[in-house]
Amino acid sequence: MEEDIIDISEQLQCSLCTAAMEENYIFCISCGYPEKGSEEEQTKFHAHRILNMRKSSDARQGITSARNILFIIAAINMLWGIFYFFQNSQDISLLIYFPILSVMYLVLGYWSQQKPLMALVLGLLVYLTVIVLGAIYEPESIISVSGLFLKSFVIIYLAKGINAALHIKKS
Amino acid sequence: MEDQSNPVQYCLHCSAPLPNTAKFCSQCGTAIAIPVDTRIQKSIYYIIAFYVAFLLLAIVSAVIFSNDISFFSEVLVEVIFIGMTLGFCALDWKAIVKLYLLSKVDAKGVLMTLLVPIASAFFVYYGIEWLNGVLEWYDENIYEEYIYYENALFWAILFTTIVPPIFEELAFRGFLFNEMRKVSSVQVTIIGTSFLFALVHFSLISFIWIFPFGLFLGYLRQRYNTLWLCMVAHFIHNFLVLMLDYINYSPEVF
Repeated sequence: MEEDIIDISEQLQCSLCTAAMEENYIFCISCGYPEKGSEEEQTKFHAHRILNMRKSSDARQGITSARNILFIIAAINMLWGIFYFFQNSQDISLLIYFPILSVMYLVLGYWSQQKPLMALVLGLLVYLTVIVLGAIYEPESIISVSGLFLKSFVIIYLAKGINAALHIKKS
Repeated sequence: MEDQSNPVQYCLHCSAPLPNTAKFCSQCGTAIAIPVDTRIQKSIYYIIAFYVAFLLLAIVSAVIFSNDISFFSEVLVEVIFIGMTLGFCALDWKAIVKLYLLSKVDAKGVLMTLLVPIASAFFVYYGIEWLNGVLEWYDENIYEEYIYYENALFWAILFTTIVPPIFEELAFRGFLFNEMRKVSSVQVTIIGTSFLFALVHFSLISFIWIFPFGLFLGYLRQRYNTLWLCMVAHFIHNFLVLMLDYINYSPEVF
């Protein structure tokens, strides 16, 4: 009696992920493996699986790059604030604005380890806010070509990170 | 057999009946659960578009005010802000209308709604005054910006204590909160909405106190599932700060 039960459960398992299967299933409903498909289909499935794995490791790489960008901006803001403080008549507000920004980027960077999607979206929006504030208060800051290049570089990397986080959330 | 007789979903590709736990179709191998993902993507795009719209509003209002500072330009900016907020809310109005239904509110909720903004208004007002004193910054007076208009007090109350609580709550605790809740947990949603709410005031100093106040408003919104408490709390806070500025500006009235 006991042997019978074990026998049945062995028959109805997916050979790839060992999830339970029904008699009429052609594909495993848990991992999509073509259990009753041809050998060619099964090989194709394995190839796709490896491709997807690489995709998700690409996605993780995208998030890591975006996170590193946030850390770099945090460091630049902190140094910028201190540098300008000693350069420009020791205006104390420089020692407040830039460190606050720096801490924001730093916290969002760390947070992106747990909640990559939301942290990177907020990081991008903080960055866009700073650009807009710069454009409003110092219109000449937006025109510089190197600045424009750098800004689009940061925005593109953060956007790529958000996209990657969306892909990870999908799978 | 049980799974077959009670199919909970159907494959979108070949319409085979499937158990609700299926991640792939058992007949054609198509991956399921794609509809959920595009919804996440849509919400994220809505969140970004919503905030970018506020950034554009900041640029537009800077341009308007650089041309002329008048009552007309003030009203124009407010009208654009209100129109923008209503436009976003129209995208998901069914969920937002529900937030205006009267929900069950306990004594604790009412007490918090009344007391927390009173405490925060005094704390923020005297905190900023102290900070400006220490840093030798000019202490801005909200009321002073309205003294050039006729009926200054009326317009100051309308533009700083009536319009912002109604439409900022609708925008941030209504639309933004709903969209974020679709892609993240309650905690992340409250933190995220407060973060953007504080950021959109475009002052890094006030970020320090608007952020915790936003957390409080987000908590009220989540706990009681209504915008009324948020609006009242926001109104009390803004009204007290304005009144303190008013008393400060014209002490002879009292």
